[in-house]
Amino acid sequence: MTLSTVTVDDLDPTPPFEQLRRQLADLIGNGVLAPGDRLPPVRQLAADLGLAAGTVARTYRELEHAGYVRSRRGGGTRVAAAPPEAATPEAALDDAARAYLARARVLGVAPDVAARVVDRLARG
Amino acid sequence: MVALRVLPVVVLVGVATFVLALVRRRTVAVPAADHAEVVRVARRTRTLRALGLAVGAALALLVLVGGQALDALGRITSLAPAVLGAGVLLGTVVGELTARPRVGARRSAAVETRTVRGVLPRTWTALATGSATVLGAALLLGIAWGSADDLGRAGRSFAVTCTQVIDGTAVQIGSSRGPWPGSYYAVPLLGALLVLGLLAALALVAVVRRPRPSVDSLDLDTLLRRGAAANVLTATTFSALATLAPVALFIASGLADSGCASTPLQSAVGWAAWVVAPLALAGAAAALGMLLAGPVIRVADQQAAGSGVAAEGTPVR
Repeated sequence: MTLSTVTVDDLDPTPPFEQLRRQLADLIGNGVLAPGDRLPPVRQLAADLGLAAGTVARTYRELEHAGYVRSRRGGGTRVAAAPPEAATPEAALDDAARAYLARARVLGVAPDVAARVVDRLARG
Repeated sequence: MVALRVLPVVVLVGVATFVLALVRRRTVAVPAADHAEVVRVARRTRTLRALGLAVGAALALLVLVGGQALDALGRITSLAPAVLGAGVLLGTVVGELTARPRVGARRSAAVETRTVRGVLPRTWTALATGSATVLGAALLLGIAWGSADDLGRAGRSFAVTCTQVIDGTAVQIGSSRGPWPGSYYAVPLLGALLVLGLLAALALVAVVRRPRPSVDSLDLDTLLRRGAAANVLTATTFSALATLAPVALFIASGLADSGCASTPLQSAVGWAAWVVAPLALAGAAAALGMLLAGPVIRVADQQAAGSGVAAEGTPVR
């Protein structure tokens, strides 16, 4: 069985709860996580990612408000029956590119240099 | 006398299991560079489990020897197996709670729900729950059938009375045999069993909640958790069986030759106890042998380049 993974990067200027929210929303929106699938318990995911439990709890709250998941006391957090669909690939790439450029800025790399890195990687 | 006849067999079973467990122990050899964090976590949890076993064994010995001086009737001494088991369980809890993988700037986690049921090995679960259930039933039966001894200590002997006709005269005959695992012994033992059950549950939760070292070592990490859970159940099984053996022996000897005709239930329990006592003793020796031999799965560094894939049954070293 292949498990999906989520990643948190401290060098990414996006707050960890938002990094996590975006990845889980993508997994749900693209159908990787199906309706009814259980998300990891807050404490477990927080411990695995080295985050505070409150950070993961905030992610789950945001996902619940957006209709991606439903939480029930004692029953954990599960993917909602009819979650919103994922953004179009173009919009998702726009988001990823914006995050990449923001990270480059934190590292002191100019946008044109960052773009050249992408170009070099794309050409293999 | 029966105990003396059975003892060599029990020692033999213990030694044989110890040797068998050592020979059959699997060592999962992995390239240290690929699974460095898992190897570190495995070493820490294994060291603390071994430390728990050593401390538990030392305290159990102290309870065996010192307990006899404090209470010659053996109430404290009877808790020795539970003390040894508690040592292993506490070592497991401390090891699992303090084994924290190093975290870097970029961290990943699997989207999964880990549960205790997911790491429980079926055979050991059945053995641990079965032995604890039989022990609990034997102690409750001991409480129900126990009576006060000649000095008025409640639940320390098994008493029967019956009427027999001797030379045409009805004579009331009564006999009392002890020690009997009535409330005098059973209440502290049930308390110890309860504490042991809670510690085992705590240890299993700690095993499941330990953070994953790395998503690249998921299979190996799961293998380690199953090994740790098996160790928890082995310790619980040992404590239950090592306590059950003398309890069954005292029930069997208490019900034998009481001078009055036994009820069918008493006869059945008496015969069952004669069977259970040596089996429990041999089982406890086997479980102790497995605990001493160490965990079923050991993770070791492999300096030479390897496949990086760790799986159950990979080379034994």
